[in-house]
Amino acid sequence: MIRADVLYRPLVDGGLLYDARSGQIHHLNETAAVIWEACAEGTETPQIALRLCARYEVGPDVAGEHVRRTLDELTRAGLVA
Amino acid sequence: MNDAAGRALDLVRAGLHPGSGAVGAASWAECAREGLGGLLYARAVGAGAWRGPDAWRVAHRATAARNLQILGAFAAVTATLEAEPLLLPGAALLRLYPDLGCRPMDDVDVLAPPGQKAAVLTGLRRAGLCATERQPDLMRRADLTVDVHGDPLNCDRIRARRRAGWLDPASAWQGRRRVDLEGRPVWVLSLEDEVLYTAAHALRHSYRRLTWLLDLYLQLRVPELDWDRLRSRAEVTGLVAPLDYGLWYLDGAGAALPAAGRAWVARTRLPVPTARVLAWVLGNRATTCVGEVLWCLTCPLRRDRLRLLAEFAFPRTDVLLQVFPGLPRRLACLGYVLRCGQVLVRGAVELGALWRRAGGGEWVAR
Repeated sequence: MIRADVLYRPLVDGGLLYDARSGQIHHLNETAAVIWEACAEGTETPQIALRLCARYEVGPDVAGEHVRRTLDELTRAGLVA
Repeated sequence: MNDAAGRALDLVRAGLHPGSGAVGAASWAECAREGLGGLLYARAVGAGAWRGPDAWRVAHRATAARNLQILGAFAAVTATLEAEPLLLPGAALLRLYPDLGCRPMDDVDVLAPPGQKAAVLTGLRRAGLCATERQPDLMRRADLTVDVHGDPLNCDRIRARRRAGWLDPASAWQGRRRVDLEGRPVWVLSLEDEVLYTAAHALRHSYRRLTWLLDLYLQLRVPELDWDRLRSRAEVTGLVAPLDYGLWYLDGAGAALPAAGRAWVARTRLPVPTARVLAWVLGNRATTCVGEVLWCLTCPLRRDRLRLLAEFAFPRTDVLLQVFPGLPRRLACLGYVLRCGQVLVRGAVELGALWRRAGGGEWVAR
């Protein structure tokens, strides 16, 4: 799902993605970084939402919507297939 | 104490101990100018106490993005080289910081494998980097600048520097280690050599960047650092004095050094004139070159000190032409005349400033 040539580096408040193909850099906020890390581990979308629920005290619907939107954005940016 | 040195110490203290109040004393604009904004932001976020200016967050992100881009470009370039160089402190020390946004860097300094500097330069040229005629070791491309060293402290450019302290390239290369830098394996110097390089480099450049003192602090706190080996390596390489000076600054900034570091500081008694000059250098770090002169004066023999001072003031022609990039090569002799004037004017200005503001007072008394 995640492109192999995209390098992720965590930051204290999120993360950075370096797209080796285009040379572009993308900033991830804290929750987007959690989602990216979970994707990198091969976690399925419902489990990612549960992780957000546990970490940020939000309901499953809100977390699920957030995960879906973030994955859409990452897909549009060509960072995940 | 001279105000500028005290201010600089406040900034170092802010980098060492965020939340100590020193951040408030030092304006954020100064922190940003010194390249400390990203580090202060990261430390405050890590402590769950971020209430600083938004500009620090922006600086942190910009630094992180720039560093990742540089490292990405560097990794792509080195993958094409037949002779893999070693990463010198600077980029190599990013691994000691909380994340990539904490330490700005402009270029990547590398040490070529012994006898293979030409091969590294050729490889970099093939990868699209190019140098100017005057600075053949400084290879540039739009997204990357690589400074290729054949000698860690550039003692090949000013040969008499070896008498003030020399990290011999062959032994430095032999002691190299493989470390992970932002997800990629790279060669770096041994821990002890990295410390000595950082201390000597900072002194040579008159502590122009306060991040070099923070680099030194983070290196000295690495648990694997063997202080006995550091002491013996410093003695073998003749780099005890630069390390003494670096530790003196860190002690002045209230750095929480490990026990061996505190013992080192307690054993070291810097002569009062040296301490006064060091305090002055820190306060005038943006403009002075007294750090290099001070390094010259650490040569054990008087004739070596004079030889190094002479070569520093009047280096060989190709090095001198780097000082006067606009001077045509055929007029190189004129370079020495210009250099005479430069040395006289600079010497008079620096001596005058030293005379007027030989600060240090209470700080020296620590």
